[in-house]
Amino acid sequence: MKVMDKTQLDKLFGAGYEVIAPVNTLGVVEYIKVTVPAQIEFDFYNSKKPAKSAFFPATEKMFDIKMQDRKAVSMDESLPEMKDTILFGIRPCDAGSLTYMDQLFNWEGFEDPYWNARREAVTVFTLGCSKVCPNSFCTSVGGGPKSKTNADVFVYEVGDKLVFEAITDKGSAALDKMGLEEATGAELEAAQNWEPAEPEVVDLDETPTKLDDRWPDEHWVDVSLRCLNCGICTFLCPTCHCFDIIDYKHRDKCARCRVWDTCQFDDYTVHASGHQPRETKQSRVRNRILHKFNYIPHNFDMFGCVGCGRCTSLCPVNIDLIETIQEVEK
Amino acid sequence: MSNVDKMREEAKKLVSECRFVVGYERGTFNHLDRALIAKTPEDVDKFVFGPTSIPNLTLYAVTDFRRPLKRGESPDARPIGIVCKGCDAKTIVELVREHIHARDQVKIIGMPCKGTIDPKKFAMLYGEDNDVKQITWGPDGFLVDGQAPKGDLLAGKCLHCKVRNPSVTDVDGMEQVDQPEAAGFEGIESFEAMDPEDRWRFFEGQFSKCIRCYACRNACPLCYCHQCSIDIQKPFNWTQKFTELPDNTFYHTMRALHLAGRCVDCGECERVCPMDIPLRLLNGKMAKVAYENFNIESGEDPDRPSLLGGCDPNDKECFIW
Repeated sequence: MKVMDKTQLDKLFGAGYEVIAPVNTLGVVEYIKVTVPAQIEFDFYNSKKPAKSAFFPATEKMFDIKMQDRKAVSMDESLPEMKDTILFGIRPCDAGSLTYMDQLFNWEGFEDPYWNARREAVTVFTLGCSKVCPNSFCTSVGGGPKSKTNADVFVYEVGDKLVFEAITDKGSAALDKMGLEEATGAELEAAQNWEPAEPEVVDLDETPTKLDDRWPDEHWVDVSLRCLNCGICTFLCPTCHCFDIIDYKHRDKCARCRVWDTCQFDDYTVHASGHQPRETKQSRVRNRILHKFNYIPHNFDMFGCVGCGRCTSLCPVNIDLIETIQEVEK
Repeated sequence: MSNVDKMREEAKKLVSECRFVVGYERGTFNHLDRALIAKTPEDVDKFVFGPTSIPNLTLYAVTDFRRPLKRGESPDARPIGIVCKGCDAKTIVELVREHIHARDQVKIIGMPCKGTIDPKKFAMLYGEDNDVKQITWGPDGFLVDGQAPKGDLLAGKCLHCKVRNPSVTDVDGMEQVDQPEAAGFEGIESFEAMDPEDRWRFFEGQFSKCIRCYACRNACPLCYCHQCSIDIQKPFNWTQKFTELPDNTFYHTMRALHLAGRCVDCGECERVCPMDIPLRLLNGKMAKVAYENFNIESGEDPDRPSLLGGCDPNDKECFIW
């Protein structure tokens, strides 16, 4: 294990990597590219915008289309040009969501070049949680405040020091380049014996099978009456991955882009004919919850939820995920 | 009988003759109350009211209106009951004035209110995972677990409130509360005093955060359009779905213009925003312009046409005539 002072964060930048880290932008903690160590935020439960935006940005250009003298059309694919990057300080739940996202973006033979290009260039530095986030239940869905899933390096916060534990070869290569001191004595001991507080355990083991026969509307009407059908719960979910593809046109140029989309919006399922198969609130709320707790468990053999609790904490009308599931299971 | 008991009693009477009665129940998180759409007297027993009863429930008068009907189904003609604070009752006046609801289609249980808390101020003072049990109204200001609060908790909208006792209500006999002098447009004036370039930079920063979840629009009881112009992408779109600054700016500016002179300052857009964009500044400015130029205040007089929904032959911009 390696150690460094929080004041020595410039070593992160010294290793020739680009750094994406939590930054507090006008009250919103999100993961963006940083150039100065002072920008990095440590005092937060969890970021508002999940770390998925580092791999799957809200707006991404896929290719340019150009018209040449109104005769021929040329297309230039624009893959992200990624330098080696350190994604510093993501929480174990967000790192856990990458297991599902990696499989989804490489599902049944299709490989998503945009996701993979970013994923390969990024070394994940997971920062252990010393505080329990409100509404979180990460330990109930296979995660936890010291879960090392998908981490290349695990970072312990010990007072004013940071202790780094290399998990993968990619991680130890990054640590070597940073030139850190070996951890000894009190810091090493504190990191090894670190026992963070854990959120309360919710029993969700039976949920995927219990939800199998909960399709009919009657189970969903009452739990969704309050819903606004806004996109907060899905846009800010670390495992929500839906996107829409749109063309941005200007004169004889055009860029085809993908942007985040959400199953909570009216235009998400509307057909070319105008038919709307999911026209009521309950059908949209049902889709969100069944997708995470029924479809993904059946298709990928894991929960589609990492238990970060963002959807509950940020819901303006207090649709509590755990309460809703328990209500529907009844 | 306290106001809360009176509210439950009246709601129980209404629940049998209405489609539903919307009230507040205790939420699961941070002691904030949430909407409960009550259809039976047992549901009404869960109703609460206090400084944490923040959401504007008149939204559900409009949401229900938007619900698609099944083939052969005729709309339910029974009225709906709504528990309203003063600011929420103004929304009903505005909806009646815009012919979205007939006044007798909405039964208002008007609750006198001494001001609600601002959940964001509360979370900042007490932490996100606080162990506060209850927030109540004391003789002067709020009581947090019976103690004086650590700091100012009053929501921004309540500083300007002129209707602590609702101006319209279908329930008599509520115990009235004192009405202190309202602050006018103070918050807006200090904002107007800013240098235009600083103001623009301020909003650039704020709008860049927007994730276009449309919670502000969906939580707004006066954004009741069947189809929002922002959602129309075909055959022609006003703006793209990108979360880039130009598109975000277009969206927020358009929404503010559509609410000019209509917004009742219930503060819902700002409260629901997950990215903490100060949207009340935009709507407050529009309200000020409407008041200064046309002497119109939203939610005041149901007989006068709304600013954007009527025309006045004595309008000082005479070019239309």
